[in-house]
Amino acid sequence: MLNFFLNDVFSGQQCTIENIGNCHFYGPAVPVNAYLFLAMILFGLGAYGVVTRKHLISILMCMEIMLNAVNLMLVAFSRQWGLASMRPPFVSTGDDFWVYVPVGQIFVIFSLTIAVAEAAIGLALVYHIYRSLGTTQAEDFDLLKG
Amino acid sequence: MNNLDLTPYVPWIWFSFFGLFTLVMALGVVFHRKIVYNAVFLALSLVGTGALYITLNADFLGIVQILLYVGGIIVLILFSILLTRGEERGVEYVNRNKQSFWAFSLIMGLSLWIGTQFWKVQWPDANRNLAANHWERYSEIATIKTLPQILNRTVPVEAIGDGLMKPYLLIFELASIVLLVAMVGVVIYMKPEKERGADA
Repeated sequence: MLNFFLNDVFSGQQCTIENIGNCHFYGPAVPVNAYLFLAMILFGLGAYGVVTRKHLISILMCMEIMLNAVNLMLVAFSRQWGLASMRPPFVSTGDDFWVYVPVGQIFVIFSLTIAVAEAAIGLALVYHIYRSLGTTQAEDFDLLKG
Repeated sequence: MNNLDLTPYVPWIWFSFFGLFTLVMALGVVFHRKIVYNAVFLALSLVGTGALYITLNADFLGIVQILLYVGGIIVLILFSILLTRGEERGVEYVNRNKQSFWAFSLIMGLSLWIGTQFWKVQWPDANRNLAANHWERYSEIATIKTLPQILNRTVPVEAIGDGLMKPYLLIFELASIVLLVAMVGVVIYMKPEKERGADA
């Protein structure tokens, strides 16, 4: 299904070492800085939403946007440093081989876990507050105000 | 038009399309007044982020993103919106005053500044430098194909599972404990007062 990104878009053929000249996928890739720039804009938008929105669930949604921006950064860095060269042990000669080191993607999985827990607890808090106070506006919660 | 060869720009086309999509949908989340529309915009923004993951060779994470967020969190958010809706239909949901303009300027200015600082950094372009070195060193040797075989390819799920089960096993288990504690806590917290007092 997702072989679409492995194949050449126009000719549809598999990218191998023989037809490397025709394969777009070995061409200039989008640099990681573009993804970081986009993630920074998304993070700023989410932060602005957290500051300005009044409804608690809207604030939670903007926090989800911020979390997604950070996850996007992690995945971009994972593409940047996701390969490592290995050499067979106790062998001085020979060809080094390459392995995937998707540390960023693993961190994104942990981040997704924490995001799910955060969303569940946050929405439970919102609903509990709504049941006890009858409102979901953030400016109405001034019980601790001196 | 037949001479137009868009082949080198295909990654840029995908990135621009999905990036603009995600950005516009995030703008909808932040600026639209109706909260159900916010949830729908958030779902579409998360789908766009999943597509961006796929353009970053992280197919598994893209699928997990769409499954987990759009299938789980968005449904949860929509149900919360439906449960907490009521008498506040006429209430203004967004702060619009003089401070909001300065907040937007400050936050977006800071973000754009950090983004331009990212543009100035010359990251060690691992994959492409490795590819260049590889082609310089090994272009005559036909037997060594390992690097081009895995370069710019989808990161297999086996690699992620390997990392989760070997070096990050402790964090994996701790994350599962966190999820369990959060779930049990939410269940206890959402009980009515009488039953909660009877239990604890």
